[in-house]
Amino acid sequence: MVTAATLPLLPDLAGRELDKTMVEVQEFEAFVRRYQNMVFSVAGRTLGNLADAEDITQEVFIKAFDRFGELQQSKTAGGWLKTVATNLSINHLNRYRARWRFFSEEEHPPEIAVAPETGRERQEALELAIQKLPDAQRVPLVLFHFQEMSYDEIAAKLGISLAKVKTDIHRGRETLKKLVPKRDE
Amino acid sequence: MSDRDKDWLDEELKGLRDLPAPQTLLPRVMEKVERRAAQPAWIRVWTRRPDLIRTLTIGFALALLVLVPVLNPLHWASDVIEGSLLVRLVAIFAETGRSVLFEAKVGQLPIVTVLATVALLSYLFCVVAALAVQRLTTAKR
Repeated sequence: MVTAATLPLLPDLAGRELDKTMVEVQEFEAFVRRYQNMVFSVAGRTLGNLADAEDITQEVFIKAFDRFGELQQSKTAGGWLKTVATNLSINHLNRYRARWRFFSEEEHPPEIAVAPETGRERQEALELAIQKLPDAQRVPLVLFHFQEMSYDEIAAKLGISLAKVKTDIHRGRETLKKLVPKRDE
Repeated sequence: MSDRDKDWLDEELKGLRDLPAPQTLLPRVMEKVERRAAQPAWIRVWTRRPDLIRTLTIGFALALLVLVPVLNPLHWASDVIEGSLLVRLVAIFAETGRSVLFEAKVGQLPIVTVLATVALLSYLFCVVAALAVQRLTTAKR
């Protein structure tokens, strides 16, 4: 029963709830700062498109905010974020696959303009080369090398055969080697 | 891939650092998050715990399924809305169904008890199975 004695507590409770929310938002900002590069990298490398990767990263963090209570306590928050970023990126590619194919027919084979010399240049060239790989090669390659998934897991996730996974990763690696040749010792 | 197949490319891929997120990302995320945090508590529960909402909805639907034959609202409605043949017919069917549920027996138990028990057990089984699958996938991750 609400009595006159309990009434003054109500604004206090609402205030405390508001403070709690503010603290949660502040803590979440630190959480985003901590993981934003990692999530953006997963999305960027999977999608091969940094503009789309920003949208996907945003979507991942909105989902993370809805489960922030659990993630804050969890030691596997990074793994959860990676998994969600990967799944959303693959869903995005599947959704726009038809359109991607249409435009990709017009594309020329990827080329790296300048032969990279320094370590930093090589890293940038390699990132660019990964982004320019065809979806079919890039996605399994990224899952294998950056998410450390097995061939079987990749096949199950992408709904393709094990043989195709192996072939696509092999082709992707060969393309990368052509685009960013081995550094002369 | 065997160790023999590993080469300089693996080393270079392993050496790649995370891509820097664009400067615009954090403000965009925080704007959405603040808007979400400002929502009333009941809306936040709705968006944050769809599993809870789903479970409650199924529970409510099952409870309704059990309560409808017990209360038989159409029987009351037929008393109020006199002259409506359709309502009276439906009420008679519902009354017949109610009689069958409560008076027909499987062994010593009325059918309604058996059905309610089966429905409740199925519901609990679904909840437990869903939780087990969720735990397994989380553990695998």
